[in-house]
Amino acid sequence: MKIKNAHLTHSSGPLGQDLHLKAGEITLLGGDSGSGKTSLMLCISGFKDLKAGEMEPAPQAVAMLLQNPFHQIIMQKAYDELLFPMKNAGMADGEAQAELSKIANMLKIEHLLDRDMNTLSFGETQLLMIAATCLSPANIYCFDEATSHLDPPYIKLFYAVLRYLADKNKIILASTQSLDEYAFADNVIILNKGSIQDVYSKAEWKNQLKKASIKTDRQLIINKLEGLAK
Amino acid sequence: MKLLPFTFKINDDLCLINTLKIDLKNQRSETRNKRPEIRNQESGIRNQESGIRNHPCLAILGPVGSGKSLLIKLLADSNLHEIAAYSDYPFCAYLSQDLTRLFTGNSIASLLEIYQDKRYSVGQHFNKTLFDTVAEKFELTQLIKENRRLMHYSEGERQRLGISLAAAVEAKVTILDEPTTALNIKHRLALYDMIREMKSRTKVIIISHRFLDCLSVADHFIRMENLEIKEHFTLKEIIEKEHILSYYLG
Repeated sequence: MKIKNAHLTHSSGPLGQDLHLKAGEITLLGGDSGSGKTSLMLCISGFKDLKAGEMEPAPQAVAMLLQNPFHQIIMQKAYDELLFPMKNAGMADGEAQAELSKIANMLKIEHLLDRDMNTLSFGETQLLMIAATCLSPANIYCFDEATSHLDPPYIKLFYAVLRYLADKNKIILASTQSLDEYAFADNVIILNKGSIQDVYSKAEWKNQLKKASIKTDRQLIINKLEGLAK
Repeated sequence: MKLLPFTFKINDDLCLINTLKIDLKNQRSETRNKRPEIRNQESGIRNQESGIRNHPCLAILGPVGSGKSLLIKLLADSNLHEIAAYSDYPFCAYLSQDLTRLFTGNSIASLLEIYQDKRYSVGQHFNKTLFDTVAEKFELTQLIKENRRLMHYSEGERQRLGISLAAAVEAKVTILDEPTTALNIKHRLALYDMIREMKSRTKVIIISHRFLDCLSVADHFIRMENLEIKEHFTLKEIIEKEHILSYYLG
């Protein structure tokens, strides 16, 4: 999918470069708060219109997880919440249940399936809604800071599920603030004030981290622990 | 008295935490509306409570769904006003995990007006000068001048605003529940500085799934699992806790 000559919002500048999102790849969006990560995803998902520019082909069947997962809850029971997007798309019961168990197993959320949605914690809700988004039949998947309340083991599982979707030839777009998560992606796009600042491949991004001597959370934690040991 | 979202009463005597593990289980069960029982149980935590109390910053660790936020909500007495045991304690500043629920629809100016309204408890504890200082540190001055509706700010901008508001409420205890959500590393470092400064005037309780946040500011840790407090230890002791290090570092 290509986004050409785009201008995201009224208050920001033009995107600057054309954006090419490839099927089968995980693309991560980075950048400061207010840089346009959410706006870009909302435009792709059709919640918002581009101020200018066009998307080719026009995106169809997009599943998006919003920044606040509570805004997307439809059903009362967790199991029904996961089943709903597939039933809504007319999928057969058996097929839907098989897919549900597969994703639930990958994300290790089987123990949550019989809970009421309103008894779940923020992190648990986020996991459940990640699963619900992944289970929605779509060609493009957008995840807006979906890992904001997850701890490291679950973040790994999340990216494993994204890889599973990418392997099915879907377009995957996710935003994050954590530098550690870039290791899981194929491409990294850094936004700044509504414009694309840089586009990196995985290898280029690694070099960039080294070149600019940017430290990831992991490295900072190890440094702290070494300091404590002394 | 009706309290505003960021401010609740809290028990600053953390030895009561050990009785809360019983309450937590009741909270999650089907009998949600029943009055939780409070039992006095002796435990290691109670015996060493003075140790905990002396530390100015406490971090709560634990996996997703282990009851970290629930514990804080119980301490902050946000939805359990019927538990008289916690109602006599001083006022606390509280940054909730879910900001959009508190914010939607207002502009920054109207929000600040409510925060400065002396009729509410929060207004009696709110320090506008302090707010301006913190807001400047988080690069909010321009955004506040723009005074858009809160729903038109990004999540990171709202989060910084939430932190500034909570930090400007002068209370004996300040609770920050996942304060680094949607913050970039630069603002996270500013937050660490802010918490280190705050420690001289208030006790800080922080919950974060980001281990770096807790390591950078906390003096004491509580680890929760399955709605129970499993252990507590100081910052120096953490290097011996291999199960925790391998959990966060993989």
